[in-house]
Amino acid sequence: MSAPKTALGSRLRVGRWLPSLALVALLVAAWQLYSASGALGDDVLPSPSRVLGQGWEHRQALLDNALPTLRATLAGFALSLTVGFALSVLIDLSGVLRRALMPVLIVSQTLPLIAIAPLVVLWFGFDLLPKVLLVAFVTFFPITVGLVEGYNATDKDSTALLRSMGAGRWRIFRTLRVPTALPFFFAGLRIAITYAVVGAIFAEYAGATEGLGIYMQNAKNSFRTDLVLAAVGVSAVLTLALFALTYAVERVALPWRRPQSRKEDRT
Amino acid sequence: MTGKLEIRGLNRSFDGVPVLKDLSLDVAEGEFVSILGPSGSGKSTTFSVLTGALSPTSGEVLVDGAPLSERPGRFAYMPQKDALLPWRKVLDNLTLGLEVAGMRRKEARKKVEPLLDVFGLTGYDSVYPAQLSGGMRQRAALLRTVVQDREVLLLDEPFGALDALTRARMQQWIERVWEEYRWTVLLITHDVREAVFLSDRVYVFSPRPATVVSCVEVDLPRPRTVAAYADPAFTRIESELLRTLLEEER
Repeated sequence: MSAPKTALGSRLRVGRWLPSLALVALLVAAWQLYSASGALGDDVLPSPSRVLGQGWEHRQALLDNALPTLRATLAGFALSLTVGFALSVLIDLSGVLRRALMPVLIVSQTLPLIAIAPLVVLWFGFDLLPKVLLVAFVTFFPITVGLVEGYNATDKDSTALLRSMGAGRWRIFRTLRVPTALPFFFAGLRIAITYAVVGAIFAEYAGATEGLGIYMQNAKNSFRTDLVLAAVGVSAVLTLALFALTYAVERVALPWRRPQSRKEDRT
Repeated sequence: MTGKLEIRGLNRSFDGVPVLKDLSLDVAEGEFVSILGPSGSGKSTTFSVLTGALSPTSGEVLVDGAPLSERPGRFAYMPQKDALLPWRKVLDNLTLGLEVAGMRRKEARKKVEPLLDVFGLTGYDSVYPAQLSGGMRQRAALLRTVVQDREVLLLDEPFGALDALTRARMQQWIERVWEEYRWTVLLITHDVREAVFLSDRVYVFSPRPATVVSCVEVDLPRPRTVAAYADPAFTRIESELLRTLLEEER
């Protein structure tokens, strides 16, 4: 019932990505030409080829530092999912809790991370914990909001139907409200995941013994702009990979959302 | 025949605005009764009282002679939209009511499976509702309703969203199936022909606040087929009901 993978299908997929690939290629080419002109030194603006070359040469160091960042990102995101879901349940549970929690949560998102990060490191040390906390802090909000909006999109007729069947509140919540909220949750998840790696790097920047954040800082301090940019590239790849992963998970978790053909009536 | 369901002097208002006013009606065991009324007249509010979603301001609802509060869970409700859950496969939608009532999924499936054929859903049990046509969705919703084995079926404009031809087919089909199972049915509709074709008795509701303005017995022979539409008695009842409805509107 799923659409067959045809040559045409894969060609269309390439076609969809072509414009953005072309734009990136154009920008990189312009950058390459400009830095080759020598207007700015290699320590100010290294060419993309140099960034790639040096990045490859230092691949072991980059990998050694990307892994702790990825670990902090995933652990933080796991915490974020747990807390984000728990908050959404509390908010859905009662109007009083909603009115109490929502303003606090919104205010929490107005706090400047640049001021918070060093404090969290000060309080919780240089280990994994402050990074996990910061990643969760910058990512829980879209998850909670997505879920809450999703619960509220629950169909009234379906709710009446389940009530008529004798379903209690908890039954309606898990049988009806949670599945309704899932597409909203994935929308929030995608917003959240784009902050996650950046959040981890920020936390490392504020104080760490390993990770892309501290690697960037060290590279900057020794005027290795090329390695700073190489690390930036690695963090972008991490984010893109996690972003793509949300689509894969969504596909598995929400099979009914895949396009399917409709049956003809044969009454 | 015993009075399966009796509604006596039911009143319900929202913020002081009356929606149901001194409403009374009867449904006997194995009877097919319709409520006919203009849109927004409080037909669905009546169902909400019956399913327990709303409590009446005054008046009483008796099931087998006892108050509704002492006899919960006697009604199986089919909402206006089919309300099939898109993330559950058809079979899992059909067993929903049984599962909520505490039946194991496996048992519930065993109970549903023999009915698939009657409801024209054989072979479609493992697809998602989005893949069903409008008529099939309604039949699935009806199967989900009847399989709960409740004593009275409450059908809220079940065919309202269908195109005219599919609706006519569904009416023929439900008449056939009803002849076989003889469920006690209370149907809400604003389709006069549908009410006459399917019912033993039709209650006409006034515009808001809803009260019964007319009660018409439909004594056409059963089983009814397309030929029933041509019966002079059918035409007479249909035009009588239509006249009552239109006079009420003014």
